[in-house]
Amino acid sequence: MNKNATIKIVFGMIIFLFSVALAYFTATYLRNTEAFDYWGALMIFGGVYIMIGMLVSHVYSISLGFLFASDVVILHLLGENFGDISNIGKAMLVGLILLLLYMIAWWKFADPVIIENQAPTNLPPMTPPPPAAPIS
Amino acid sequence: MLLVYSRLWELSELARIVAAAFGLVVAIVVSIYKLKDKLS
Repeated sequence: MNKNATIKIVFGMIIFLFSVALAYFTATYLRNTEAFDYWGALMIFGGVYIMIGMLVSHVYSISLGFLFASDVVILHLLGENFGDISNIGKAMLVGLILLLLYMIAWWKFADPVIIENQAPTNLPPMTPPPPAAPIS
Repeated sequence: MLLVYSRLWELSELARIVAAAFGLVVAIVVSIYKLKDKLS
C-alpha cells in the first residue's frame, strides 16, 4: 500500500468518525429538546449519508467515510428497532441489500474491457502490390 | 484532528454539533482538493 492510499484511508476514517459523531450528537440534541424523534433523525442521517457517499464516489475518502457511517447508523437502527422482525430476519435483510448493491455495481460499473493487439476493423482489405514494370 | 475529536464530548450539546460539523467540512474540503481519486 503506497503512501497516497494510506492518506486516503486515514481521511476516510476521519470523515467516518466526524459524520457518526454529527449524526448521534444531533439526534441526542433533538431528543432532548423534544423537537424530533431520535431514531427518525438517525434514519434521515443514514439516508443522507448514503446519498452523499454515492454522489461523491469519485472522491475515495469521502465516499468511504460516509458509506461506513451510514452502515453504522442503519445497523444500529435495525438492532434497536423493528422488534417484530427476528434477528435472523434482520441479518437476511442486510445481506439481501448488500447482495443487491454488489449486483448493481457488477452490472453497471464494470471497468471497460481493453483488447490489446487487435487490428482495427475499419481498414480496407489487403491486396497484393501491382507487378513491377519491366526494366528496359 | 483526532485530539479535537476526543474533546468533542466535553462541549455542550449545541457546541459539539457545530464542532463535529466543522471537522467534517474541513476533512471533506481537504479530501476534495488533495485526494481526488476514483473508488476502484
